[in-house]
Amino acid sequence: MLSGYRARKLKSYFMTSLMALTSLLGVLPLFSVFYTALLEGGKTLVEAGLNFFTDLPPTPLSTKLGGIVPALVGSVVSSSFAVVVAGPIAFFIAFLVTEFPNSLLSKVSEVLVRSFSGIPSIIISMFVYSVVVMSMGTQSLLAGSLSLSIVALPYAYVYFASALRSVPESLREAALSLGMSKFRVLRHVYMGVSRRYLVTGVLMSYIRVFGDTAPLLFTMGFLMNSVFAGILRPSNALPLLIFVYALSPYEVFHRVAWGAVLVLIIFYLILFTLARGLLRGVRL
Amino acid sequence: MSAYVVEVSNLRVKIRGAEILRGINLRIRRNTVFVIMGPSGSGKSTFLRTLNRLVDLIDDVEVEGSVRVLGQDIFRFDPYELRRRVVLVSQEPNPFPHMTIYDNVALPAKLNKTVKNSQELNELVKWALEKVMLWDEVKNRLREYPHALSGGQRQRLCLARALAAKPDILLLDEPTANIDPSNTLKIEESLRELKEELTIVMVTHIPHQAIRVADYVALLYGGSIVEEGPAREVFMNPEHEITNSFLRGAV
Repeated sequence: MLSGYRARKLKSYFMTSLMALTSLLGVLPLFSVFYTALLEGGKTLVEAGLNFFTDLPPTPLSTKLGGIVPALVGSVVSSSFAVVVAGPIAFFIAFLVTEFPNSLLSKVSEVLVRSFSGIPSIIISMFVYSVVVMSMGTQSLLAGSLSLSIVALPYAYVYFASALRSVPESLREAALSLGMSKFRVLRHVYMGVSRRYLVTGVLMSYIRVFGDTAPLLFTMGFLMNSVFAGILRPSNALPLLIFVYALSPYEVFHRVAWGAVLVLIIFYLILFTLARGLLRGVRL
Repeated sequence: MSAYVVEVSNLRVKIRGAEILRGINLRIRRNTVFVIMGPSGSGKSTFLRTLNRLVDLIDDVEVEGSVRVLGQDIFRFDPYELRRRVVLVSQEPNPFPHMTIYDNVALPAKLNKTVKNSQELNELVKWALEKVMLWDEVKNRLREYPHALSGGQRQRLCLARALAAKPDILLLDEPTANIDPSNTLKIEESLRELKEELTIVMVTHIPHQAIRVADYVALLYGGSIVEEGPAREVFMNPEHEITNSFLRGAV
């Protein structure tokens, strides 16, 4: 019979191995996606070279790969626009909810902004289509950006509210004890102490909308023949290009889609690493 | 100019329905160290936070009675102006962690625009740090962040920050509760010097500390003032049995 100590040791090894195995099974699909994207997208990037980032997309029967510049520009502009619009609103609501938690306005604002996170983004796309696209008579970069703004709002709010709530109550009291107004407490204490969390919130919201397809389906259009047609004209975006090209019957489009997938993943990884690096925060 | 900077009459404070202060009557003389003693839960901190209206920040608080600070009803003061003139230092050292030692002390003067130029600001920072006996320890580390300081040094930094606001009254909520004896003595020595320039109202639950620094004392018990008067008289001849018990450490 095994001694009690050896039995516990064996049980511990067994459970540790079981956990390692299930963790591996969990991340395997993710590695599989990365591997395929690297393999397929890598081929496209090697063949197209830097032109992939500067050329217009190919035509269906083209022998050249071309590039993804309209989608790249559209994604960067629409995501930036979305964060610029949603960021300040989300920050204002986060401040309201943190500093005046019992006011009716902050309670209503919080419920509204949180409820946005539960709405499927395709419905947001349809809403913006019926309000903005129908009245303008065309899909546009503006409509796509507004759609992304609505998607970004609850994400940015959650990050900003967590950032402001991470500031210890004792610092707030210290600031108020010195005669600072609530606005000054926000400016000099909250924003100072949680600045890294706030920047992380901006980056994470940017990452979130940069890869979203559904909000753009009915709103953005699909620009292929020029880099940028203006904010009130149709544009393009990386996830939209991947979605459309992956469903097309042309081999050249599939190859471009794989290249775009790899670009999207690399962009993600860079921003995500940056955001995680920033999360170290202020030493209290 | 009145000899009293704080005049409290029949002050009652209720927080979420519970009566914390029950009819306080008290007057505090200018340029003295007034120590409010009392066991935990007697309402000392609530009393201090009433003087500069920090109690306003608590939900569901009711304040009755009259509180005159610097000759004016506190509810006629703009609360921010009141807190600039009546600054509170808490029990827990709470320097702003994202600011350097220098910036922590300089912040009130910068915000209130009480200095004309950087030279005046440097002098003010040096003055405040000297007053709390911290200058020699940090004069070569002014660009470091407060986490590099010990707990006692951080508390003295908070005291320096409060002094740099140039208040008329300094409220101290058990400022030495969480620090070592050597830092405690430095703070107490600072307080004895500082009373030449401002009025200090301090709360403590340690009778010996009151003996060392107080000009006047009051014993707060169960939300009421049990006894008050010049420190020497109260310590030598306590009139009330509760005071006697408190000074002997039995309460």
